[in-house]
Amino acid sequence: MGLTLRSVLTALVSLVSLSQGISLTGPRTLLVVEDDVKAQFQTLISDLEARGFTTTTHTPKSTTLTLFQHEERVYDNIILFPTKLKGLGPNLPSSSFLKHATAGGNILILLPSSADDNIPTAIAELATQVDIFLPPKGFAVVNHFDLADAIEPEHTTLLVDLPSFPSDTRNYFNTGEDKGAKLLYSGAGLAVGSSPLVQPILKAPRFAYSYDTKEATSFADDENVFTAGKQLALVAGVQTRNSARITFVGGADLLADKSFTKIAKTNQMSGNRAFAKDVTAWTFKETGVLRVDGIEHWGEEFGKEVVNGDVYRIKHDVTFSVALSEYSYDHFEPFVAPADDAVQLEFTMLDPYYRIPLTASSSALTQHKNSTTYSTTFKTPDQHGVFTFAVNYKRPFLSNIHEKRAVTVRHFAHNEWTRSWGISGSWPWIAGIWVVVVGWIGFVGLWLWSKPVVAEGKGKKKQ
Amino acid sequence: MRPCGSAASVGAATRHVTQIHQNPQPTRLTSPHPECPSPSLLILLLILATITVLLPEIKSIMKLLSTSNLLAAGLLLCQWVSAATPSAWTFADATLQISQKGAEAGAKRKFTSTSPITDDLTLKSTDSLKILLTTKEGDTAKRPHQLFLFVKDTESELESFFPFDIKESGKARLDLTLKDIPIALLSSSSLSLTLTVGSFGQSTPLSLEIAKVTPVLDAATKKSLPEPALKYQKMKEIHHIFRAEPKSPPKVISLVFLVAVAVCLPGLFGAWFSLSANVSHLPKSLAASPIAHPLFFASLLAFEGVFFAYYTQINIFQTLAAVTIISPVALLSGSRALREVRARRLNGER
Repeated sequence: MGLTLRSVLTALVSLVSLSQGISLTGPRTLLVVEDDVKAQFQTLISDLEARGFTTTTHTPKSTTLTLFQHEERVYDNIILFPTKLKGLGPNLPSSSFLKHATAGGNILILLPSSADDNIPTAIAELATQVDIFLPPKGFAVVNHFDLADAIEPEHTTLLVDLPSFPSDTRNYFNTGEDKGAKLLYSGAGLAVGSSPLVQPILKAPRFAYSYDTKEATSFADDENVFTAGKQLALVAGVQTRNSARITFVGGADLLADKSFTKIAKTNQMSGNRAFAKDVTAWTFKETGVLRVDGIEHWGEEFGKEVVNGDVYRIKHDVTFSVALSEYSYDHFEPFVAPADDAVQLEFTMLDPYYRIPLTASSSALTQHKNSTTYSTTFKTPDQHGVFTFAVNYKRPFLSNIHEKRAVTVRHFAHNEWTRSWGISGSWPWIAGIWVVVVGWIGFVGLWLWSKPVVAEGKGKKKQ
Repeated sequence: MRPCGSAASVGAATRHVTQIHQNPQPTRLTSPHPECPSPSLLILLLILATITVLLPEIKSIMKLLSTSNLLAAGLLLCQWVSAATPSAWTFADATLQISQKGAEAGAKRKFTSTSPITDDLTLKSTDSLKILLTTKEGDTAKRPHQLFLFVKDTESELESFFPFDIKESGKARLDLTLKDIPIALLSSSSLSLTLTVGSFGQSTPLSLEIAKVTPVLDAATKKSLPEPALKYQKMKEIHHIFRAEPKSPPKVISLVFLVAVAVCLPGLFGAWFSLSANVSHLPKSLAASPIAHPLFFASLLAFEGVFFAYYTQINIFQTLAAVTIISPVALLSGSRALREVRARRLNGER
């Protein structure tokens, strides 16, 4: 029943997404931007609209702007463009952004590229709340080692390689055609905290550093350098526990029209436009969203005749399968975990007794042909109790999966133990019993029917 | 693309400045930023000028070569190349010193841009590392904007940085103790120290690995290292360790004792018969009570049979049912049979 309802819902969702081809959160996008700034981001906005987003523009000081109506989100996605203002309007306190994210909405924040521009306090507050650290006003990232423009005296325009990640992390930010393209960047950069919810998306080149352009004019000393090298993030993404996404772009020019151009030094198109698509697609949940399509488990005792049963026996083989699919712009497709990563199953009673990888299985769950079935078989531990099958798949850039199914693991029934004759050590004892039995029967016979033997001198045998 | 020089090749030229000194000819060809016409033209002119000016020196080098003093020639070549390219950052009088707190200062190790320190250095918790150097743009001492020491864990690629204190004269100093280094790096087996010198303008920046250091932590520091922060990634596998299966002694031993026990039975009967036990009264008792005796004995056998069945297959309820049926039979026939036995005893036949 549950399955049929779910499949109907799935069909509905896919129908809706087929007609629109947009993010899973929704298409309603708020642009918080002043008119003169908006003119610098025409391509970004038209690219979003071409992908099915509907945009509404408000200035930061707008009085008619509300993010919530009747306690429901008005917008699915928010883009905060850089502004010259020191503060956003009264309708955009930092708490409203957190409320928006708590309600599942996504936020893309573009910080100013120029060291002279302010970062509104609401945005700075939001950043600290999500474990991202912004330098104060006046900082800029420079790289003396790989100049984008040889005659630019400030060295603030950076050439940055497209992001690359360790082999256990999916790369959603290098999907453009030209994998070797460079990104043009200018801005102040960010530092990310140690929270697992925060991920740097784009890191600075190895010897780049962010310094105070007002204080450290002659040389960069300890106090006036914000951070440097690979610790310096240029773009960072936060995924909240409810899988809403907040992305900080350290320099708005990264996504501005003027960066979607040829790089003079390499005479090749910059990768900025494709990167802008990747960043917005991830932030607005067009990519990196996982779905559990189905879970099946069965045991050695009944085989596949009893699927998702409640009771298993200790020391029996149990097979667990989960079907996963992943959203990609307008459709769900089978999810393939990165090479060095693994979808893991935990079999838990207070502590995990097992944490084992699930492998992509060739035999799909019958109900879910369009997903990858991850499956494994293991022997239930020799401990009875209430156990939980748990798939806790939380990875950078992927929406969280935490599925639990509780089952009882029972002890051996009395007739499931090895019989005593099967245990060689018990043979002498069993033999002892039968010797007593036969001896006693024999004794009874003799006692009943023995005839006294007359000994010499005595009349009868003594009793 | 080629004539303009790709970003990668320029990057390579700037990253490995050491090559400039060993092999001057190609460096000139890949002068920085060749795609911009005006500066590259300027540099080309400059190079041509230096070549013409330095022609006599080249001759002297050839002379040295003829005397087969190759090493000296190389050194000289290095020297004038670094002097001849004014648009490159470099450093001089560089020393690295590790000294223990309270003890005498350790040996000063000299290093240059061509000869980094190759010794295995160790840095203990009480040690402090001091680097002194003078930065130069070309051959004039000058203060660069960036003079950092990057400290990298060679395994995890984690990297931190330490800016030097620089005077206007280019004299720079960095003091580093173990507690300045982020704890994430301290558990590393080897830290690589990279010096970077760079500034605004056209001069080629310099990055150079100057040494490798092994941090040595005392037990207390090691204990105080915090757990690494939680990361969302594949976790360590856990496999349940089953309790050991109950073990039986070797079968031979069981069989020996089995035989020993089984032999007791014939031993017992043998003992009884040797003490003149017999069944000679059987016909007599059968004649006296032909039903009670066989029935009684059979009911005893039936009891054992039921117990055997209970042991092998039937359950307790079936067993109780069977016992309920057999018991009255055994009771009645038993009293009759025993009455016959008493009769024999009273007759003096037992």
